[in-house]
Amino acid sequence: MNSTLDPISTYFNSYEDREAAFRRAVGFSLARRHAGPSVFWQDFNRISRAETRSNDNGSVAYIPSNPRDCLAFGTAHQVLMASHMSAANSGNISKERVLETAQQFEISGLLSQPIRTLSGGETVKLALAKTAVSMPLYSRLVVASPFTWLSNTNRHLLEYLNTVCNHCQKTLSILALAGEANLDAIGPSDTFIPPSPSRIPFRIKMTDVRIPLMVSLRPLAARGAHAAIENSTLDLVSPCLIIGDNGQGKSLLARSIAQAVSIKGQIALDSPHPQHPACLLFQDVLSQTMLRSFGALSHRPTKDRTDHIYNCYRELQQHYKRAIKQESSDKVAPIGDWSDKEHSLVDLKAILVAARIADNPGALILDEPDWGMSRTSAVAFVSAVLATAHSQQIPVLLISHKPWWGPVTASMLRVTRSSAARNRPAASPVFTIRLKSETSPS
Amino acid sequence: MNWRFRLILFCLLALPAFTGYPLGYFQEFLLPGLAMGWIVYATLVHAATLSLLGPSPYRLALVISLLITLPVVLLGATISLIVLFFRGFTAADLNAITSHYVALAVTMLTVIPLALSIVAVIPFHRMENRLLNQSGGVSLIQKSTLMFARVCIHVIYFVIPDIMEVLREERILKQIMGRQASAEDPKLSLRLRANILVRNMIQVGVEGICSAVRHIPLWAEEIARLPGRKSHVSSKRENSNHSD
Repeated sequence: MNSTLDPISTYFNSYEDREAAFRRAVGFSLARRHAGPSVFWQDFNRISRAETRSNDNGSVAYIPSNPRDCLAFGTAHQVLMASHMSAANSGNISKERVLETAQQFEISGLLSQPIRTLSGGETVKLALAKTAVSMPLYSRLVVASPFTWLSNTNRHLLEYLNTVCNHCQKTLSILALAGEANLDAIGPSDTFIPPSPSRIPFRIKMTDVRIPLMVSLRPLAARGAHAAIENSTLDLVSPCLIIGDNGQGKSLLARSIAQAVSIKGQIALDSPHPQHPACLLFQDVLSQTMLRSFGALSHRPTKDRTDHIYNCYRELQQHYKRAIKQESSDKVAPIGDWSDKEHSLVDLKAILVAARIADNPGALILDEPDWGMSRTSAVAFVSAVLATAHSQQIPVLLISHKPWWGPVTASMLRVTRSSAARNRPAASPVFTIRLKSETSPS
Repeated sequence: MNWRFRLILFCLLALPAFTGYPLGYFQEFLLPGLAMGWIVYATLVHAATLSLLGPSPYRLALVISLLITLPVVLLGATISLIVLFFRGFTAADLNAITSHYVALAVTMLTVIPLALSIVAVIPFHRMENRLLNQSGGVSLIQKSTLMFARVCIHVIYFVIPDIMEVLREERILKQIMGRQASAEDPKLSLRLRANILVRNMIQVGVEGICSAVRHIPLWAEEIARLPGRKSHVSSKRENSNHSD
């Protein structure tokens, strides 16, 4: 499957185990965000007091599970320029050298784009490029869960980085979650729950949608930079899978439908709960929790609504337990109890989903639902979400670049993006997102 | 207009707030706590912010200022009044408290948009680009400037937009403003909305501080690793070696 990468990959059953191994391997990391503010400040204090990372554990380059966390500058060009300067210990780096690296890692079109506007996959590509340049400064490289972000078509870049490491006699270690690199669609070997028989038809209508890109994309546009979504009326059936390669605008589309970003134009959702807007579970759920406790995430102004969230959480917990095969049960931690003192990433995802389902949204969107989960855990989680949401007539949309979810979905939506327009008139979009409904393999 | 010129204008405009000159000469009060000098000054600041930044950034600065000012002023005034109520009070005490908090509100609503405008006119992206693109390495002062620019860029372009996305997705701003998500939902009482506002202000504050400082160790390491500035001669020698 990943012939050159398999020998250097270690797989873990949970996010917590993988994070602990990553922290041990790197000897330094960013303050943890999934365990609340007190753990964050303990970590931050410890990191700030540490003299230098290299004194503790040799010099280790790293790409953490959120690749944005290892990029210290604002644009891809700046990141690559700084890496070249540090690696060569010289302030005289030509632009051609930066461009050459960018071309090798297929990000030459993104050099001037602020990192926040890059997709997850594009950010990993940039992190790989940066690491390849600065490898001479380090003794080894540790990468956490690269397969969650990189689509199949971009995995060769990771293999290329492995070649670079071998060439300069440095070690590359990949710490991933069990089944993360698997490219097969899920089947009977993953779960004994058959694809949900319930199907919920719904419709999305896009009319003149413009999404301000907020930060300027120099030199594409200094002011008024915006993306557009092609006008379309899509008749879909839940569970619906939104697919597309890295950087095609899947997450931007999801944020627009869920109104997480301000848009111009109209996105109309015709579903069993048309009066309520859609909700979204972000890919990086840790930023979505905003360091809030379990109680704060489930808090609602009235007791009835908080109780409803509790009931949804219990339902998710039961469906999740049922979806895990007996032989895998010792490898997969269950969704914890509401009253537990410490909560895992799976618990956090479950409470975020429960809080959204309890509000009866027009649709529930899960952006890369397998993020931070082993394959077994992700399959059980998605099965549980589908069962709970469908029982309340809530359509579910899954966003993924992985070929896993085809068999459980009833409809598919392919997202493609036009290339970025240079020298465009101010009124026209930087790029346009195109949507095409496709038949699901199931 | 050039950003340097706009920065100088805003800095000049900030002088009265820092020095008190010439505001001290216009002490005539229109209402308790509302001095004539401050009213004129606040109007001038808002007019300058609107015309130099444009309507959209001005609106954002105004919203941020209101979100910071209102809880501080309202909570402060409430606590003072409770203390006064139990201690026993006279009309003069009440007048003093009212005028203090009115003056505080006017000051905050003037100074915060001004400070935000000063940050907004500095092109941190360009500054960061220029510091990384010059030949001959990065001096210690430039590294400090780079670190300052990094923190500002991170807060403006990462931390605030990330928090805004979460608040928007959870419709928290709509709840606070009293707008219903749908016709089915009951409209929340003012007390519940105030409760939501205070809870979320605290959560946003914690998240904002943690996110703003989280990457500082990484940036410090990466910026410190940049090559220092070499003398002109050694830099020239290096260049000629490269061309050979």
